[in-house]
Amino acid sequence: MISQFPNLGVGLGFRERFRADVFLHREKIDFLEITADHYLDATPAKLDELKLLKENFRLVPHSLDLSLGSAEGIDRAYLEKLAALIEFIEPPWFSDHFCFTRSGGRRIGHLAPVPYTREAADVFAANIAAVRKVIRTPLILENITYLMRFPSSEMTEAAFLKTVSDETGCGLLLDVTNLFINAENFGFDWREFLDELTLERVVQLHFVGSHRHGKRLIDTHSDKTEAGIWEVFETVAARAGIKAAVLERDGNFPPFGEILEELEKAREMVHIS
Amino acid sequence: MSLRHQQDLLARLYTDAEFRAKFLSDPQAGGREYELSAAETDEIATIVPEELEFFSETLFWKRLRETEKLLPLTKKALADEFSGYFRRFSGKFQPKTVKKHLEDAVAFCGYLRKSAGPDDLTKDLAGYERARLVFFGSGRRIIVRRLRFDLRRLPEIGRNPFSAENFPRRQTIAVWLRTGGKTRHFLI
Ligand SMILES: [Fe+2]
Repeated sequence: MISQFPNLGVGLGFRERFRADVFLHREKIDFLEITADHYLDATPAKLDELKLLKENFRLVPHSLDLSLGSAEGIDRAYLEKLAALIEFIEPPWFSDHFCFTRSGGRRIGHLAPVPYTREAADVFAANIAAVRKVIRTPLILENITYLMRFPSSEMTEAAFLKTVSDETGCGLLLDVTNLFINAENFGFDWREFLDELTLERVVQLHFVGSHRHGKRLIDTHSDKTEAGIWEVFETVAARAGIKAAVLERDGNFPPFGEILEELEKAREMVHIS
Repeated sequence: MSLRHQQDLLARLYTDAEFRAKFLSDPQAGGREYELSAAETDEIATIVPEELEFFSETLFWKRLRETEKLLPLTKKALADEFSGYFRRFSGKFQPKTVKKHLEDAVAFCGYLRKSAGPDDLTKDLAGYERARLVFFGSGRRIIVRRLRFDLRRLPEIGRNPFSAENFPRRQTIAVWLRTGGKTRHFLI
């Protein structure tokens, strides 16, 4: 299944800030990843933007709020809106996260981790099955950053990702920055994580710089990709048959030339399979 | 272990600062409210408090930053006090839809207008920005808002340092209107 996914190359996470630049430098951006949530219940202006982007780029939607780790199940209204967007875009795949973002009527507004347990893996499997009944486009899942770990976890993060991926057949979106940040903050070796994960299900990569906040690294997506993260990127790209990579820059925006340089550097490292 | 009850409790802890403080001083009472056993509550309580605080703070700052972006005039009027008001507001209000930042901003303006602290001009500016957000967020054809201050100099003041002298007291009407696919705005 994953081997039949098309090769998209190296793309950019679209932000309104980049609107003029992406058109000016269209030939240097292989595709755009859009934040699906920005186009759900969208204003006419936002829908016009989406049409224009679709006419000019290959688009892949990245959603933030499916909350696949929620034990209470999937929000039907959100799922249906997302399905309509995906039907319009016709992407080769779409992505969300290994997290929960709502429970008990509260939207957390952020990607919150789940304990790595059998129960949580079953919750993901059930929610993914519910999504597939409505959206036929393949779903891939991204690893998140976290600031705490649950003592009740029964397995490592890598084992949990692999379990869910194996049991559901979902591909993985490996965010190498998130992996690097978690490894630094919790003192584990990202190479061992990659060994345990096994990489054949990795479809796409995310990358951007990390940000130091006191004694921790955090994922503000506001810095240039640093050497340590390029090392993870290059290692994964050499070992996995990835189909796409996306630079996710959300703040402290540099001149667009710097963004293009990062895309070019990533392109030299990936041998898109 | 019931993951669902655990997640209900975590979602509350992440989004409600008052409840968080209560839980950290007496975890078992908070756990019972969510039908967790003593052992299950202990697990959540062992998630180091500063990490929980850090996570929740990250969320708070994200909400604050997005709300500030949507309410530039109110932000200028309140300056450093903006975040204090927003902190008191944010624990009590939970956005329900995907337009969560817009919901936050609109509800926060309502909260400011009912609060005792902000001066009348600040309340007027919050009401003005609230009406603008509702207009552009809803697709409504017309919105009219009565103001107690003369905000007609807003366009020329633009990015200049905010000063109350620029806005004398004067009954003013703000109108947003959609006609023939275009939006128009007047201050009379
Ligand atoms: Fe990411």
